[in-house]
Parts: sequence; structure tokens; C-alpha cells
Amino acid sequence: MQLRILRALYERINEDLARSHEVAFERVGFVSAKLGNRHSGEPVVLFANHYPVADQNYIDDPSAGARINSDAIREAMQVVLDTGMGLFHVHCHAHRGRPGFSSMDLDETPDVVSSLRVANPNEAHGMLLLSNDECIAHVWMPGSNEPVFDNRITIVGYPLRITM
Amino acid sequence: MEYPVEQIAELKEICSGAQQYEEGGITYFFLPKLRTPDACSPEEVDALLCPTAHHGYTSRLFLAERVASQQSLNWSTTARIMERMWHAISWNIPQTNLRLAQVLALQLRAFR
Amino acid sequence: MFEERFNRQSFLGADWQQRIENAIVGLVGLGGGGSHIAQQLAHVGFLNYRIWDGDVAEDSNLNRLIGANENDVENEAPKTEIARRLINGLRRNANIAAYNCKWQDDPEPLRGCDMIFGSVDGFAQRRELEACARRYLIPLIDIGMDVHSIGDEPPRMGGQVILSMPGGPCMSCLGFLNERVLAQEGERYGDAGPRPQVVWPNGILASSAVGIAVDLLTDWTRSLRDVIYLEYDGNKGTLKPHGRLQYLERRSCIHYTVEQIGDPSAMTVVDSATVQ
Repeated sequence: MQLRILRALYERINEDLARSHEVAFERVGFVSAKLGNRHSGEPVVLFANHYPVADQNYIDDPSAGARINSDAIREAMQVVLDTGMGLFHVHCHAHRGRPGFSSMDLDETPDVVSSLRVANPNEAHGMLLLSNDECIAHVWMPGSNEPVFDNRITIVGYPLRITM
Repeated sequence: MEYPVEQIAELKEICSGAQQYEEGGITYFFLPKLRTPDACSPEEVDALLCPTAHHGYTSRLFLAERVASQQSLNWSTTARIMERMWHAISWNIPQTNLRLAQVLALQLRAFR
Repeated sequence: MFEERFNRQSFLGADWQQRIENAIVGLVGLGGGGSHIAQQLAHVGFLNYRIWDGDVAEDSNLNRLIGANENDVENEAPKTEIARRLINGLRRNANIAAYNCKWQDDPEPLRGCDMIFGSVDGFAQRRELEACARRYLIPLIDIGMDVHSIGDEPPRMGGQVILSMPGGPCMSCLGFLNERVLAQEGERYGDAGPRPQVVWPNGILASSAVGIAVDLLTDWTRSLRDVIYLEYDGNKGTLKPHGRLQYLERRSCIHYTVEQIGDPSAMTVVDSATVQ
């Protein structure tokens, strides 16, 4: 399926995630998203705003790049309730080219997504991974327990970049 | 655009599902299953009220379908708003600074 | 494949062909402007098209409808089929989804496009198309021309090329769409009427639009970073940035906000003096 993110938002997220943290090796955040064209055979996920995880909500865990506490999850669920949108967990791998989710990402982040889906089952939720110039996503559509992997993500702006 | 809560409440007394939308800098009020005036068909229709200037009219009432009434109506406009098609008659209300419910009432007068 | 054909386009960058061929372009309106655009996109190498036009070829079109011929007029050929023939003549393997109707009658495929070319008649039509493009975060490149008379003076030919980039200034921000022009059009019940149309300004505007699209995808100039609003003066033969741009204070849009993206959903009225 298709996902679209404004370049200004993409760069803002990258900039925020590049900040160092006292205990975490990397930062994570959440990006709100609205589903479009949902009743067609070609739905599209449209990213809206970035919600960084607050500094105090990281857990000191050297075995993980970043681990967030239950407050972070609760705040994310509240964003879903307040905005009526979906939410995507986001983090960044600082290199060029197509990034890849780690095994830890694939093991643990879906549980976060499950909580978000409880808060609003009518929107798409998922996980988003950025590199310096590309991104990939796993998307859980309303009513489906299996994520969609094979996605076409467009960074909308100057230039227009379509990653497949 | 901001509207006082009491005006929106008045609108909801006429149409309980009334809700505000914004598109392209214009405010609309979606009025689901708005009851049409007597002798109109159908008796209920989804409507979109634009209480501000819209393409030369001081306000506009868009309907999801062309309502039949005892009046001879000039359905001059078909427009796509909020990803739906809407129809409107050529009917201009000269007054301004009206409350939302007043705008709606004056718009519906065209169908009586 | 097509190495010989495109070897003069290598200046567009190492991966230009992949970027062009991956893009899905929507063409709304296949008249004088849109037919030019279709032709040029095919020449450049675009592969995936979704095209809308509900009209058939008429004799009055032949002064400007690229790809049309007298047989098409006799046969009342849909403009979509003329465009399809034009594109396929240059790219046999082009993927073309054609809709013989107004885009409003079949809008779902438009939302799947990576960029949209708008060659529609009238300001209200432009507003509707831009609203859809903004809602689904799709860049829209709009072109149009007009000729109008002013007393005994020679007719004045003008036109525009506007890149409406989601997040950036929209046509209302740029002052191109405003209540005055929409009201004037509304007085004529929205009928843009049989306006003067000729082939050469359409070619200029369409070429600019295609050039913008190629730059947007390939970034070959590495200088396309801001709003584009080009004003065409057909009497002087100039196409240049509109004078209004120097007065544009904001580079973000105040009319289409992030809350408006996606399929419309009802906004919750909160118990406060301010409803957002």
C-alpha cells in the first residue's frame, strides 16, 4: 500500500531522533497518520504530526537501542484518543539507503502497536523506520491482524522521492 | 473559523448530528439527515451549510440530492466538497451577521 | 531497455529513469493543455498514467488537441482514447488507466497518483481538484490560459503554471483563487464558456509543467526548493515568476491544514468558546 509523508515532517522527525539521550543509544517517537481512500482497493496512509517520546520515559537498558516505559505508551494512546488518528512508532537508522527493522524491532514493537489499535481500531497503525534518505513501514490496517510489509512510501516535497 | 458554542448548539437543536468541517479555508457544517420543509421530497437529506461567502453568495446550503418542492427551484450549482458531490440552488440571502440557525432557516425558506 | 532512446537524458541523474518510471501521474483534463502534457510525459519516459476526460473530439478542438485528427472528430473519439493512442505510440508498455468522465465521478484512482497535472476549465474546478490533492498529499501542477479583450486594445493573452505542493502555499495563498474570481464565475453559473484557446501557449505552459515534474522527481537542477507560480504573458512572450511571490510572507499553507488530510471525518465539537 501507499504511505505519504511531507518532507518537512520527515526532516523534522530525523532531526529530533538524531538528538542524543542520556541513557538511550537512540531515540524513538510516534507519528500520527490518517487513512485515505480506505474504501478503495488502494488505501493510503497519510502522516500528520510527530510526537517525540519525552526524555524521562526512556528506560536505562544497555541491551536495547531504546526502551520506553509504560508512560510513553499511555501518552501515545492518549494522542490516538485526542486526535482520532492512527499512530506509528518511529525511529531512525542513521545511514543512507533502505533501512531494515532489527529482530528486536520486529519482536517488540508490534506489542506497542497492539495498544494503539485498542485506542482506535478504525485507523491504520504501525511502525516506521527512517534512514537519512529513505524509509520503510509495517502497517496494520483496521480489521486486520497481519501487517502489510510491501509498501510504497513517498516523501512529498522538494524533491519528491518514491521508495518501493 | 470559530463559532460560539451556543450557536452550534442551536444548530444541533435543528439537526442533532451537526458537525463542523474545514476545507480550503472555508468552514462548513455537515447536517446529516436534515429534515426538509413540508411538501418537499425526500423528507430528509444530508446537507452542508456554508455560513460565509461562497462563490458570490453570502451563504450557501448544499444538499446531497436535488430536493423536489412546490417551489420552482434553480439548481445552479454542483460542487465537490469534503469528497462528496453536493447540489445548491441559486438563492442569496442579503442579510449578514446572522446566527447559524438563522442562516439555515433563511436558506430553507427557498424550499417552502 | 530504451538506452538508445534516452541516452540524451542522462544529465537528469544516474537513476532518473527509475524515478520517472516508478511515478504514477494523474492527468485531469485532456484538452489543449492536457494533450500536450500527455505527449511530453510519454516522450520523457513516464510509464504509469491515470487520465480523466469526459469529452469527445470535436472539430473545434482540432486547432489545439495534440494527437487528434479529422477521423477522431468523425468517430467522436473520446479524448482519453486519443491520449492513450498518443502515449502508447511512444511507450507500448505504458500502463494507462483511462476514465471517460469527470474525475469527480471516479475519484478513487486519482488519490493513488504521485502527482497530478490539472488542465481544467474554471476556478471552481481548480479549487475542487486542489482540495483533493491537498487532502491526499499529492503535488498538483496546474496550467491554464486565457485571452480577453479590453476595449479597442489588442486582446491580452495570459496564463499560469502553478505547483501546489502540499504543506506549501496553495492557490488561495497565492491569490490565484479568491472569492472575487469565484464569485464572477459563479455569476455565470460556473460556466467557463467557450474561451479562446490556441495551441502555442498551451505548448509553453505544458512544457513548463512537464519540466517541473521531471525536476521534482529527478532533482536534476538541485535548485527546485520553493513554490512555483509562473505567469505567462502571451503578448510579450514571457513566462516568469509571478510578481505576487515577492509579497508572499508565509511558505506554509493557512487554508489546508494537517487536520484536513485523509478521508473526511466529523470534527468533534468541544465545550469551549473556540472550536477548531
